[in-house]
Amino acid sequence: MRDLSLDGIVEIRGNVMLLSDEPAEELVRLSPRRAILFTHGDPADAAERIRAAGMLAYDVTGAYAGMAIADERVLRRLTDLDLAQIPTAAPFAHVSALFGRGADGWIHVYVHQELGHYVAEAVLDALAGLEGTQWH
Amino acid sequence: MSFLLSCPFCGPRPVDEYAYFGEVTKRPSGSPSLRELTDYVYFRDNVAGVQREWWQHRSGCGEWFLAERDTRTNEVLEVILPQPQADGVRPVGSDPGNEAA
Amino acid sequence: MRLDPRDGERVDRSKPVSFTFAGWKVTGFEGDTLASAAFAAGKRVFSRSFKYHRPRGLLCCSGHCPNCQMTVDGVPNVRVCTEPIREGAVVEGQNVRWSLDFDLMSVTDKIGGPFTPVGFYYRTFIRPRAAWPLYEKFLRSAAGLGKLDPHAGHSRRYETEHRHARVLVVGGGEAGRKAALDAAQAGPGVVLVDEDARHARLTLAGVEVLAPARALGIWEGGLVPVDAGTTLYRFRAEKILVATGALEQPIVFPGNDLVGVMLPDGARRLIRDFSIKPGERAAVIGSDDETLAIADELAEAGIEVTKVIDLREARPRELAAQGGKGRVARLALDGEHYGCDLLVASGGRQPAYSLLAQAGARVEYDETLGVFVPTQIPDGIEAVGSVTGEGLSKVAPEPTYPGKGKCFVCICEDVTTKDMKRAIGEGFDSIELAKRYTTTTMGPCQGKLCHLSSIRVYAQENRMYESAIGTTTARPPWSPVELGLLAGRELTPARRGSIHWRHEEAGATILWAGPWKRPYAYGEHPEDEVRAVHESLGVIDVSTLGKLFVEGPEAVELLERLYPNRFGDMKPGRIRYGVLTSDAGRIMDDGTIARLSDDLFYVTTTSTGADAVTAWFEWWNAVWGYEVEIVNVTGALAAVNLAGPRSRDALQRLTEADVSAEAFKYLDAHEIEVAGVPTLALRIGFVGELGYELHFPSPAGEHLWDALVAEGAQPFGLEPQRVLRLEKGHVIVGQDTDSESNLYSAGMSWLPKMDKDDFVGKFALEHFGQREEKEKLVGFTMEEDVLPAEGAQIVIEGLPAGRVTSARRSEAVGEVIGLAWVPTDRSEAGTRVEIVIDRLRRGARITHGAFFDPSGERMRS
Repeated sequence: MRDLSLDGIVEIRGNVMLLSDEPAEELVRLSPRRAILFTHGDPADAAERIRAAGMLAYDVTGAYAGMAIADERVLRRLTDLDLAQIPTAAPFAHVSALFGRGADGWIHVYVHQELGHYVAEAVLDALAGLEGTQWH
Repeated sequence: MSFLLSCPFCGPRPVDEYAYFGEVTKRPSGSPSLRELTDYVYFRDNVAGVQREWWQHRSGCGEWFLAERDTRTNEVLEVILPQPQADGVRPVGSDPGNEAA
Repeated sequence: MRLDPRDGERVDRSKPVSFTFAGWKVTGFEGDTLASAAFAAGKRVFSRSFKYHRPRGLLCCSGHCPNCQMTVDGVPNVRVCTEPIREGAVVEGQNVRWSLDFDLMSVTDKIGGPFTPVGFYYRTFIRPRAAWPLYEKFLRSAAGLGKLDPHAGHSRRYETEHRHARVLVVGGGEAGRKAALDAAQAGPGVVLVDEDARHARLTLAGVEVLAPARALGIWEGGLVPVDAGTTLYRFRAEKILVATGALEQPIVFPGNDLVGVMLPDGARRLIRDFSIKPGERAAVIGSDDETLAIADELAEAGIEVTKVIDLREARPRELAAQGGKGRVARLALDGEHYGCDLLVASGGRQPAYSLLAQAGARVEYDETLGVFVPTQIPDGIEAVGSVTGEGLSKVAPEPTYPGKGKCFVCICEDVTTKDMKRAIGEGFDSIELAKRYTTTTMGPCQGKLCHLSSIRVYAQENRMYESAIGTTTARPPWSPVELGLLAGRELTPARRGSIHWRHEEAGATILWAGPWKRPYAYGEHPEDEVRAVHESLGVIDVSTLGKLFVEGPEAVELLERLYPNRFGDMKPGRIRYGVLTSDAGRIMDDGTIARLSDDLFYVTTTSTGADAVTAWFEWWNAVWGYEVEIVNVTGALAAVNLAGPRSRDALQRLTEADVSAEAFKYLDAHEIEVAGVPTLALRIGFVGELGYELHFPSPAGEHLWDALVAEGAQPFGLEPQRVLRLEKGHVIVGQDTDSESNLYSAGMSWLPKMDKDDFVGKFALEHFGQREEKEKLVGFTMEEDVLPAEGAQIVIEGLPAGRVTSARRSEAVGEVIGLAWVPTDRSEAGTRVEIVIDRLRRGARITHGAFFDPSGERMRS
């Protein structure tokens, strides 16, 4: 597991089909009018660029805590999502989450920031289970 | 309940990813009588058969849509995007009140 | 008792393994099950029956019947016939007093017979009524299965794993394996599950094999939970192939439960898998070639076969197993006796259709086979192999055979043919009712070995056809499952704001507040924190507030239709308090609405309301279609409320913007920079003092919090905040209001703008406006220094008349104050009421408005 929480995040509304995939950015289109953009660049710049293109954009960088997970079994123990559907939004450890896939094949899971601590604990616990560690 | 419901944007997902807002009802216009108002707020057809109802993909994309579902079998015949109406008589869902929380 | 080494045996004789069986040390071999090793060591009694405490021995050896349920290392109801042997295991009998071989409770079998018919305890132990708890305690300990230690805690770690499969094959017999291989030809994603541990090393090209693993049921949407011991696989399959096969059925004759009576497969497994001689002298009863063929196999294993009865030809008038001490010693057949310590008997095989029936298939009686077969199998599911009835022989034995002794239909629940007849005689004339009354088929085997027998006995007694009786409803789980496995890991989502760890560091008492973890107070004395806010400066983390942007050219139109308030007349930079009502006129949520520009509003909701309010806004807009976007930014922004007479000075020191009383008025919203952080500052007064609610990017949470604390702000928690707001008479939605409250009864009749064309709740409010509310929300002060509980009853003239919703001791007011619902005709200020506190009635006076600073000078200063 790897922490991704410092990436810039922009919530986009409007005709998101107009958006093109940029390098160093990860775009999760939720519907034809909703998308979340994860960027290594300045989220304020990205928001401005998208607003200029006629959409609404909000810098919500603090809104999500993210982690990259390599082991698919950890994911299978915390979500019933068919991993073939990534990128998408689905529940993870009983809370709403966004799923993406990094260039390295790791799966990126973003949850609301206020749930980050809880979800990290859930992931660590799942890892402990896979290692055969007794937790309780 | 473990049936799959097809979100218009995310595809088939387990029903517990969705919020259910009840059958589509008709919101009265103008100044309804107390009888008309109570009918709208509290009464439901509760059909044993196909009904049109409101769903939101709460744990997914978040979008609202309508589904035609057979309440006897949970078979979902169709999912439809809402077509907002300018004014007059509007199809709106039930009144979940505080249960929405 | 072991035979000479044989081809195909599963035991590795070079690796002995020892464990304790009912107090005896037993040594078997690797590859044994606990039961096979114990059997080889001469153990014959594995359990005591549910009601009569009759000794029971191995019957099916395949994990289906209840006979070998024992407590293994503290875990009850383990079927030791399939549980692999392990070094040092402690295996104990259950439902037994003293020992398996000599159970004190077996007296119920001797004297109990005439006194323990079905339902006897419902009728017998009813008087005196007060004695039932005593009876119940005795009955519960006298009957039943293993015991759970309620204090044992977690015995093991359970996992849930979600899986997707293109094709899921249930059952690894010949038909299942072939179907899996065929499916794998078409592509990947084929999984086969089988309950038999022997299939653990099965390899099928392109197929993932899970064994031992039991499919527990088939639910809607192709959901199949699979019990793999400590992991529950929740499979979602596009296609499910059911190849669960057919199960050997016992024959119903007197003594058919004696130790030594076995099903052919049970005897076969002991010989083939474990090279164990299941007996010395055997008799065989059957009506199909497969069952009768066991005679040759027994003989080959060196067992003397004393009698073989083919029930297709023989029509015995008497057929019974007899013996002593619960063990079979002879077969009685039409007056002749045949000595045997092993009686292998089966009437044939019944398709294991249960999973199919759960999925919605119909089950019909097949006259030619004499069994029930599945039909009308739903889409997405297919039955293959003998579960369809394919390849089965007719079940030919009579439903029951006469003879001396108890004749069991259901061995799990100790239901005899006599019990069935009695139930029918008492008028339980439907199989579903008879099942519930006698509890036949309701034991751990879930009808695997008794369902067909029950229906056949029932048909015989009622002189009906089996086809007319039908079957009982098949329900999950198809196999027994540990509750811990179904529960899985405990996951309780907790929300913590971005400043949370500062509160932990400060030693705050953290409590659940809805889905959030929040500070209750920072010290032992919440009143000190209240005083700091009144006299100097306090700061509270309110990041939990729901925060929404509502943006678009029609934002005003949408908000004016969602709220009873008016917003079109607001200038950018101003704030208004808003309450959401439903179309039933009920209060749903409240918060502030700040207009940031013509098209952009910033809306706050209660701490528990963010998700519901967002969904509510989006739902109405899905109906109306205004050109507006609603964006929930609750987590993106942190928020703190800086409050107290010193708050202006403190804020001014942290910002270059002008926050003077003239430049930054009450209910103004300014976008400013505070301690270098871009902040939306809202001047509002929930706690009644001069104050600013600062909203800013959540990653800067700790930075800004530290800056404010460095300015001397005293952190305060939820409890001081509750005191402060109560002093102002400010309502908390959900605490002081409930699902019956509306704007008129809650004292906010000034809020709705009834001249608007439409808003959600307007219809109802129009009607409410024409009637007198029954109750009103008012304030009260106690005459004495006593604190009523929230929910305490209000008494007027000796009758209950209302209830307290909030009450606190206020240092600033100098009294105990609170909010309460009272009848409208008693809601005048000054009215005396009584409140029940610790069963005593204490006097209180009704008040209106704020208790503290009623003119609001302090928050407007």
